[in-house]
Amino acid sequence: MTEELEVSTLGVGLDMGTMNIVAARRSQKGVVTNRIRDAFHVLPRENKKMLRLSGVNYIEKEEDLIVVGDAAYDMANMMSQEVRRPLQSGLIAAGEIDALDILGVLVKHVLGDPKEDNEICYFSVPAAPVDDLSRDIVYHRGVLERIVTECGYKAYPSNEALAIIYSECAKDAFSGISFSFGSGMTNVALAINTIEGLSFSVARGGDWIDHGAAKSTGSTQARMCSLKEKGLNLVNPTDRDQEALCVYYKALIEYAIDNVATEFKKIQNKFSLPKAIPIVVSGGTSKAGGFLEFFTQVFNEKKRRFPIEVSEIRAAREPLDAVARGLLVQALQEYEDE
Amino acid sequence: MIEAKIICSHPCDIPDLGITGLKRGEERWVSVAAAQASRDLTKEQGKGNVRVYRKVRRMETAPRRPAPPFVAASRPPVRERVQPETIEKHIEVEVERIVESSVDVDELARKIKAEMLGDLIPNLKDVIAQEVGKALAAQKPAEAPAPAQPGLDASQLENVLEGVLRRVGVGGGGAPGQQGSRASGPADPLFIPTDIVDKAAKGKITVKSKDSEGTDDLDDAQAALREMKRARRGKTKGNEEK
Repeated sequence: MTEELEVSTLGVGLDMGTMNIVAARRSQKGVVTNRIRDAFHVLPRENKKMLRLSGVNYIEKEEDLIVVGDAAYDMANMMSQEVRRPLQSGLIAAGEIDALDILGVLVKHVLGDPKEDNEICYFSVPAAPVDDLSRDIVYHRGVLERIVTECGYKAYPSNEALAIIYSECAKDAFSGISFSFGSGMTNVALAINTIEGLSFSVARGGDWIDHGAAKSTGSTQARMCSLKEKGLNLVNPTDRDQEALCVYYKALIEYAIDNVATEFKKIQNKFSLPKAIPIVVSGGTSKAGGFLEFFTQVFNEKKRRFPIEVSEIRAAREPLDAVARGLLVQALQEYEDE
Repeated sequence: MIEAKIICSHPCDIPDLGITGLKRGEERWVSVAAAQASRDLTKEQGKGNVRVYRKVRRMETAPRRPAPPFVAASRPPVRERVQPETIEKHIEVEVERIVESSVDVDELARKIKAEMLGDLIPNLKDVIAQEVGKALAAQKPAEAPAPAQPGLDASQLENVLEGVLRRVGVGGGGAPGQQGSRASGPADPLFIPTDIVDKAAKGKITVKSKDSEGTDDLDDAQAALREMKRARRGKTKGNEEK
């Protein structure tokens, strides 16, 4: 199980991402984060001995063994199969019959046992995508709330991108625009003094980049993902594959910025911005080398038509943990208010 | 040819013209001479039962000339015998034409439009009906004037429209303080299974755990939030004192 680290304060933040599930707690020394890959791969029961020897994560379900986490990726790649994921494009995968069971197990292990009955847990939910009207978050939020509750916590849903503002914009009085470049989707929020002015998502993220780049170069999505994770420098691509990835990164950033402008114009008359605010970029997709510089370059090209005055552009300190930390801040605050 | 037009304004008979059982609104044409000679007509005209005008009959009602006598023409010489297949084809084409012409194109367009709209936005009619029903139900008797108005006022219609748009998922963005328009959505009943977390699941799962030293960022965030809340409370108090 999890390495036991002494936790001094009640309250948990849980980031439910398409690629990673991350929980953050406060400890005596600092912040403890637990992370697991949000993926699984099913194997027949005959492989139990092999799994036990190799020390990978698995669970037993009826006649099958389900490998979860990073090992699921490795195994699927080894067998030239696609890894299965409980979440797809940021929301619970509609066609994945085992999605809920797997999510339940993963969340239970990432959260651990509550320190007291009904310990407060803030969990992340994305905003509804503006470019895919067929999807809403109502069911997704309901299921996650049920899972967290069944784990013994008191569940509070909170917007994913807004959590980044809680974790990264304390010195700006919790005002800013946050971009959470996730694997399944990109979430955006604008807040002034913690008050959410705008939040939406676009149904494009890291997977969209992998898919597009793979299609353009005749490669596979898994290979593109691995290229990205091995170390890609967006400012200085070295081969054709990396160039293809850069093209799609640029398209994604442009798309997200354009959508902020479009959505902000809709509320411009109802919402006033007293001063320039920062942009914070976060999420697993923003971990690529040179992302901040690349983002700034793309933003500068669009700056003239961008309707919001921006004071600076910065990256989250821990792109994979920023959402969970922001949710933790909200959970801690809940205890203070009590 | 000028004739006399008799228009009946009250049921009556004009025996000397051979007109009996004349009903209201009925018209009869007689020659001008006959009309002038008829005593009964003058009598009925005096009573106001009929009106008489001198007019020229229109072509539809005017007496037609007899058709010219029928003269049979001889058949033209048969040059080429028409093949039965061709006749069948001709018949088929004719039948098709008849079928085509009997279709109401406007009606068909309306149906297609309705079906396409139904595909795009399923149950649109039901959604509209439900939203209108809700708005009507929400009309409190006290608010409604004594003779209850059957319709909705402008603000209610606006609410209905917003409700329909929200439910069919049109629109994006969001108003200040709100998430995307469909994000929160209506509280529709959802089936969410229970016992999702299998507490008896066997297996071995290790999560990656990381302990970052220092809680400066957390402390800063909490302090800033505290400060902000204090400032807000002060503002509210100040407003109340005013």
